[in-house]
Amino acid sequence: MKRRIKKGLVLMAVCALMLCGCGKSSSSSSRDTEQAESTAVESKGHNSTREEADVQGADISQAQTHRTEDTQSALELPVYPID
Amino acid sequence: MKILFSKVIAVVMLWLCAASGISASAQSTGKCTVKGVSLTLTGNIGVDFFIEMDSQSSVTSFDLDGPQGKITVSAKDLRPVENGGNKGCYKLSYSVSAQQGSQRITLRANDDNGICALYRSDGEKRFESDKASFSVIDYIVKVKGDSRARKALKELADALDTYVKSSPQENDHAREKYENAKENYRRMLLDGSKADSIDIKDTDGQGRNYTFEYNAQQFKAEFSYRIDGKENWRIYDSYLIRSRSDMIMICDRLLTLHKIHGRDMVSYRTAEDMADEWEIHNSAYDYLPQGDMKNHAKDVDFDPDDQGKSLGDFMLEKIKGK
Repeated sequence: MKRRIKKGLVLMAVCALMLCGCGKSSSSSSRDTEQAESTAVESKGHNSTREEADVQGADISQAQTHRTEDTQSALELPVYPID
Repeated sequence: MKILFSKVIAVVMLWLCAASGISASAQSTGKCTVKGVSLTLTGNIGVDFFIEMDSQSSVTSFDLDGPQGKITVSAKDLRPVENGGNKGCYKLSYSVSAQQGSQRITLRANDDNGICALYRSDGEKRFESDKASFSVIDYIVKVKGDSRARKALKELADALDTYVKSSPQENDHAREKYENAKENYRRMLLDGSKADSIDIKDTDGQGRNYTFEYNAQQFKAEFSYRIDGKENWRIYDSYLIRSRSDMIMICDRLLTLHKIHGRDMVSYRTAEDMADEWEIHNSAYDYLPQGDMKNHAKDVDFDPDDQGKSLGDFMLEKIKGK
């Protein structure tokens, strides 16, 4: 009986370690989504000009597309209104 | 005499009608507005204009004029921006070198009749002579004057300013500083950092309950001593914070208020190893199904015993009921 419990615990530990690996890769994608979402919230929350708030969102999406590109790729800076 | 008078009146009326007709048709050609200006940093520097045209716009082409000469872009060749805050706008970019950073790029919109009316970002005021102009230096001035601009962006603007104004002797050094600032800003974007600094408040003056604002949300942090006398920091709803650099910044601030011993009870924990633990908590929160364990993972606890533990270690502890 004790052996079975031990075996069960070892099995669960192995599962946990596997999850550790999966968790790390899956968390990065969900992190991206959450960042994008929170950016959208941020844009609504501030009283700054629309253009400036919007820009942050554009930046993030731009940055995410850069993730797979080389480090020399184009970097878009925030957009400001012209008055 | 009466006939002649009525003829004159009729001619005047016709002329007025014709005149009003012309102005009406001019207004119905739609609006062309420069919604914003920006820079795109590549090897060179792109000076960008974001244009909004309504569906009735008669614009056929745009002229961009600057140190490299005049470029004409056909409106038919433009593709709208697909995402971000300027979605639907058209981006016109003129490439300059850093040394040309103080020279202004001018933008004009044309239709079949000549130059079109060009409006400023508010959509109300027209540009003088319907010509918008902007330079790299103008952009730097905007960033420096923006109290809400992120620290990394301000540093990049400073480095670019120095680079643009550098003499040939200073050029290499200025360029290196600019490239570093550019990479630093890129890293900040990739990391999703939301704040340059945080202000932690001791809510009861007892050195135990604290609050801080992050990304327009209020968070609660609590310091306590466990039964065995070991220090413990807890951040409630810590799963909402995802940027590693921001985690390090927050942990750094917490450690200035109360240190936490390392596992050996001699050394002290660092902001970096606390951020490691925080990331593990966030991973667990993302993965776990609804339940007690997920509820536990949403708040991160920092104590000496947890230093250097992996997600597997935490899971095993939970399974063993520790």
